[in-house]
Amino acid sequence: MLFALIALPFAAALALMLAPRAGRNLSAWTVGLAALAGLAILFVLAPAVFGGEVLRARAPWIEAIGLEFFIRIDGWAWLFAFLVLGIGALIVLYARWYLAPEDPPRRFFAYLALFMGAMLGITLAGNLLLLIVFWELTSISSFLLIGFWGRRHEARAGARMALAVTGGGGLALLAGVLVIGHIVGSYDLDLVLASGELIRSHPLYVPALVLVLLGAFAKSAQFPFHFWLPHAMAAPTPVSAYLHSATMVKAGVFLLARLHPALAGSTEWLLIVSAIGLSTLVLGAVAAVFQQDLKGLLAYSTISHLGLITLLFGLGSPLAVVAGVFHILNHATFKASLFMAAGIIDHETGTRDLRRLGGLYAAMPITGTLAIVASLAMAGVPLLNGFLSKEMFLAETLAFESWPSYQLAVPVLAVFAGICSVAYSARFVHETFFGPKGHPPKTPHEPPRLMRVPVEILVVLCLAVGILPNLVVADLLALGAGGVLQGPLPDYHLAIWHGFNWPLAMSAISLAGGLALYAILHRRGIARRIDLLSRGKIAFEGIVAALIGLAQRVTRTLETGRIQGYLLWLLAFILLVGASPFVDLAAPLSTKPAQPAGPMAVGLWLLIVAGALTVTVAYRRRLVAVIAMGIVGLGVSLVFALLSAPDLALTQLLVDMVTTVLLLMALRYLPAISPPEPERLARWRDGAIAVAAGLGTTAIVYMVLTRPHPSIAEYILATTMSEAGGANAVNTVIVDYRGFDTLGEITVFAIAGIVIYALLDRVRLTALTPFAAKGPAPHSLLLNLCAQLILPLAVAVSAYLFLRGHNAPGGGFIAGLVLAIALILQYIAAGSEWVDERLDHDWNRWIGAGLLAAAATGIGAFAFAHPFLTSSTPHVHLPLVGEIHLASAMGFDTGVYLVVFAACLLMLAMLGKVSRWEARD
Amino acid sequence: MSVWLAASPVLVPLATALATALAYRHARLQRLLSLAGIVAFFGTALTLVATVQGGETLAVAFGSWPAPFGIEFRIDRLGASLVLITALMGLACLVFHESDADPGNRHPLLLPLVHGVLAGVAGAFATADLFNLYVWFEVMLIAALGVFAIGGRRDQLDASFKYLTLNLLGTLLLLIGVGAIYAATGHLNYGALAEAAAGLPPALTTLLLTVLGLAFLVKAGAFPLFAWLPASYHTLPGPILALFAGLLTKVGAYAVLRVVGDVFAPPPAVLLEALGWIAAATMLVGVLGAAYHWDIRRILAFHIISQIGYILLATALAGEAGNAATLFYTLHHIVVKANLFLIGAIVWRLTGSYDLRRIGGLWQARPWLGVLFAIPALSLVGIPPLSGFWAKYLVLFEAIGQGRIVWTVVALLVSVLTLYSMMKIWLEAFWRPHPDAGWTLPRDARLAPAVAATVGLAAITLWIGTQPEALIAYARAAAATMGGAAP
Amino acid sequence: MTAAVLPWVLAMLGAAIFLALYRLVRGPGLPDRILALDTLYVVTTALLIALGIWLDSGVYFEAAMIIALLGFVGTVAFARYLERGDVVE
Repeated sequence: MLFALIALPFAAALALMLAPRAGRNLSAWTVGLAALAGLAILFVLAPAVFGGEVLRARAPWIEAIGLEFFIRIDGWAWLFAFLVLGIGALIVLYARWYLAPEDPPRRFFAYLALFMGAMLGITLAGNLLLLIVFWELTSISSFLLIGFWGRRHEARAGARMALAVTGGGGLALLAGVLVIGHIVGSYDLDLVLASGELIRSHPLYVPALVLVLLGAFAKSAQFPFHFWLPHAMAAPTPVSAYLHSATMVKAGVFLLARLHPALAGSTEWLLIVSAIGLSTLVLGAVAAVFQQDLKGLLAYSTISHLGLITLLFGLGSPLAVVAGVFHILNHATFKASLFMAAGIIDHETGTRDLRRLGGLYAAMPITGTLAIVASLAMAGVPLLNGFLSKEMFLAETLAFESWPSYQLAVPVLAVFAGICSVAYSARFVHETFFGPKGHPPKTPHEPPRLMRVPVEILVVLCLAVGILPNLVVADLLALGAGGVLQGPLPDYHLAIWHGFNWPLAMSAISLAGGLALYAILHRRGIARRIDLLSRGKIAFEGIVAALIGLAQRVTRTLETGRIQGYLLWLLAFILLVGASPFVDLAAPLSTKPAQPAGPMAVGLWLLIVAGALTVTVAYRRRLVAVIAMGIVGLGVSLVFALLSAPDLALTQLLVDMVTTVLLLMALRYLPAISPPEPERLARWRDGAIAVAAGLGTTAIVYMVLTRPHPSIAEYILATTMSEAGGANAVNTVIVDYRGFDTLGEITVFAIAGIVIYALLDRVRLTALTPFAAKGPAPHSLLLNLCAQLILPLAVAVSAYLFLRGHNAPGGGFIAGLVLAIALILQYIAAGSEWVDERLDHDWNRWIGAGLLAAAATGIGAFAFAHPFLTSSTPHVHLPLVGEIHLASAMGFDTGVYLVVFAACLLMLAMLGKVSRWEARD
Repeated sequence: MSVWLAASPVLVPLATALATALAYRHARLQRLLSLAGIVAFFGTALTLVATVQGGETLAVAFGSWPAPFGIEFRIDRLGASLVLITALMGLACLVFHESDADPGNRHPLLLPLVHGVLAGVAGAFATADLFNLYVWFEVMLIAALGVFAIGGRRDQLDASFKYLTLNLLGTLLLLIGVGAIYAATGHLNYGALAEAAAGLPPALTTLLLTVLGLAFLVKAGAFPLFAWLPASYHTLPGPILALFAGLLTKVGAYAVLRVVGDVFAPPPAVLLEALGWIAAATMLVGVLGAAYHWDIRRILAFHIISQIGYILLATALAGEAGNAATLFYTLHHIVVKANLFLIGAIVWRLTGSYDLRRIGGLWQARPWLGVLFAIPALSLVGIPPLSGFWAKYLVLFEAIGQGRIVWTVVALLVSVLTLYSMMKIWLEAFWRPHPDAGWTLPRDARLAPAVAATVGLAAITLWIGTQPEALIAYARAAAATMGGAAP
Repeated sequence: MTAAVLPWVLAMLGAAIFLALYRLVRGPGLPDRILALDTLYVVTTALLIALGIWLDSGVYFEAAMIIALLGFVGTVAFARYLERGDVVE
């Protein structure tokens, strides 16, 4: 049944969201019934709870992090749930009449139900994490409700501010709950409440406290997080009445009360909570006096009263707690009714502006009477509930002990706030219902009967509690306070008359002073003229603007849009971080001595460095740079040769040749004029970074080379002939041991070729090189002859290198490149048209065939139930030739050959095609 | 069977890529093949997860060369879940691509390249060999580059150039790192590396891991190495952008996790410290960038960076809890981020623009779109009961447990700013009326596949949000087998 | 005898390389630089053969053969480019 309690509002919300057409009545009834059913359940549970039992219901949810769906109903939870559901039911009734015909009722009531469920969740949660879940849900539903009229700018702004503040607070609360969970070892409320001593003495107590308080204060609109509440008044009035006076903003103080046994009792609690409460109390009260909007006045009044409650919880004595619980109840009652009355006024007159209202009593006597009674309660006039809790409050401010100055300040400021509260209550009543008639847009009259009923009920309650407290509310109060204190209640009794004592005097001073203050302000018309700007909003907007400004600066610095800028950041950071391990090297990492470099090594090094420097220095003269790059390539291949790696040397040479040709073809379309040189300082800086990066890489390489390096190379060298079937270990590594890598790499190569195909297929470029010549190409007989002679030779060399690759330097890659270069020569000599006529030039298909060959070799292994790419070396006996020792990796190598060859030619062909297109233009 | 299954993360998408490439002249056939391929991929990925769930690790040694001498694919829980999410994202985005919400120019080579990207990503997740990892990064890079380049628009070409150059630097760094590690230890296989690394002096390990880590951080988009992301991502067509945004940076983050949390675990403490601070900076800078922009794609692109910060923070927290949090966060975030981008594409289709200042009134027009947006948006912020809340919870709980106050505060601040950013999108695109009073919805939008894809992803977010137990348990089990704990 | 002469051969070839390098850096015209590159290729052929003799290994023969066969393609491309602005027409 406990689960049903929580589930009902959510079920109502779900039902409304799914039902396509629900009018006002149906929607209101759905939610109203849910609320009433909830109340019924509460009544059923009442005897047990009143008897002192704590009702528990658990369902597992996420054991892994200690979150279970734990409903826990003790006195405090029961009382607050009663508040939520009771006022909720009344609000539903009120809202049904308040909503205009064009407002979608289904949505409104669905959000309202969602909120109700979430609020109940906060109240009844027995697991702190579960509480957080519902806490955030209330923020979200509040956002949706405030922004219900989303087309209006104030609604959006108000919703944004509300969610930003309460959402942020919720996150802080989450952190606080995590810390508490850490301290206690569980999120179970029973455990937490019993671990008060442990928590308070833990080193992490203050962080946990601050974080939880941040969440609570943000939700309850305490200073300095109070500014969102007045702006939330852009919501429809039922929302303001329900969320922003009676329930949601009370969630913060509810939490303060709930966690009282766990967190309260320390000096930090006293200081922080009472100080914040006190400042809020005064601030809200003063600001309320000067508001021009009915709802604004009530909003600031709510802030002030919440400050009062917070102050009471801050003071911390058991009696103060009782007073706080009492005031929560009372304030909810009279404030909700006041908001509803303000909503009625707005609804019937068309305005909420105090400057335009006046003399409404004649037109709306009943509403007026109700509003007046409720305002009296707000001011703390005897015979109403507000008076009782205010008296208790004042008594507590006098009874509390601390530093003398603080001890004095609290009651004095409390009286001051009381004066203001009487003043604004008087203002509310006087300027709305009395005085000269105002100029509202609509002719005022009484609202529909049923719309007034909720207000009537609440006002009657105010009176009932005020006149006969012991009969009406004493049990409830004891229940709630007991739940908060989790222990014995202090001695007190509720009575209207306690004799002539200080609290009574303070109340009298407040009353008299407030009326006097109002009279002065009203006579001078000051109140109407001063429009107190919300400092908080300015601060909020200011913070947001500052953040955006910061964001802008940060983004602009990093997102320069220029590649040089990006690269600079990248390299600088890499250098910085990469260099740091070097900084405190205790012992050198090199263990082997460096080998002497022969004259040849030094010579080659000089060659490469000279080439690289030439490229860097002469980069604006692009042709020179390309030539110098050729030198660097040549030097590198000689280095490979020196280090006994003939395959690598061959590959490097051939790749260098192909790259040179491709670069030259692309050079044609680069602009003749280079971009301007960056300034000298930038150049030196870039140069320094580049040199540093090179030195860093050198250092790393040096370090790993001068250490012993055992490696898997020994195994490979040992097994290359026996298992892989080839004597050339480099080749067997490429096509067999690490054939899978090669498959990936030829895929990359193939994709690169295909991307170039896609890029250049339809493109039209203009030749920008200064060497462009017009007219038909000259025919060089010598070149053509050479090309045609070399081609068959190259084919033979290519085949030879391919076939012997497994056992001697060679292989598919090298062979493919040889043939490609020979064909490139043909292209250069005879032109692409001539070659294309004679050669099948659908290079994409060749690439695909190559990939298929490689993949098929790999998949072929599946046929023998071996993993992908397992090779074998069958021995084939051919007549006349003798025994041939084949390796299936040859199939793979064929794939490599085809891909490399075709991709190179594809790139060349596409670049050539561009120039052909251009020539036709 | 298991031999084939372990190699399937790469073989299936590659086969699909080849098939779609061969069919490039027949658009309908190509799309059919692509969808069939991705469904097959998804199916094999599911089988993978089902197989490794019980603790078994699927391994295959390519070429039958025993590890550590050959290349091995070793798929444990971590790898399997990531392969599954890759397949899932591919499925969602390719289904979405069937609609007409920002599909780009539907170049005949787009689908083969997309499958190539998927193959690269899945290969990176499945491999157990450092150089093979590099190869798959290369495949990813070139295929992604291809996708950028075939768009043909000027800004796309500019983006592809920037993407290429900056990622090439990262690739180069990766190659240096892999080479140095091979020279120092003589191995490339993860298992063998783990053993060999134990014998290295810690200073050398720090150095090698720094180089490797930096390379992966470039790929992951960490501060300040992320420049390539906002420079290029926003030029992609919608569903492709969603795919890339969800997956590509996560491969880098996964590589960091694998290297720091598994192969070379336990890493030198200074590395984790540095990683944590980099993560904090990344989070902040990312969300600030998001707060500044007005183009939905750029906002979301910066959010990728910001959330990568969270993932890296979880990695920096290390230990079983940190690694489990990393996996959980990664999985949650991939789904949410891709979903947000997809919804952005739908917004574009309905309003014609990605710029928040030029659109509005969507809540009135299409409330279901608002709900669809709200689910991943709130999840991104970390509002319960959505997946993001549990992900953030896991990270924050561990951070608080390790006493990392500054990191926790930064994480919370970033969450607030993320909330602000998502609110901005909601308020401007949905609640605010359209600036152009006469604007109406287009009548001819074919959005059914788009809606199906986004609803599916939202359902997953909701499922993880309300029933995270299964995923948390899985992540913890995966983390327990990392770092050389139990085999 | 071979052993005594070889270091000198290598030294002279090295000197040839550096002279070609000098020409490449100095220019003054593009044809000079291109010819310097071509010379480098030719000298490399010789260097590889000499290296093979010195190290008593036959593995470098193919590299030298390939340069001899195809090395001039680069030079041809450059020349074409200078002449026409386009390598393949």
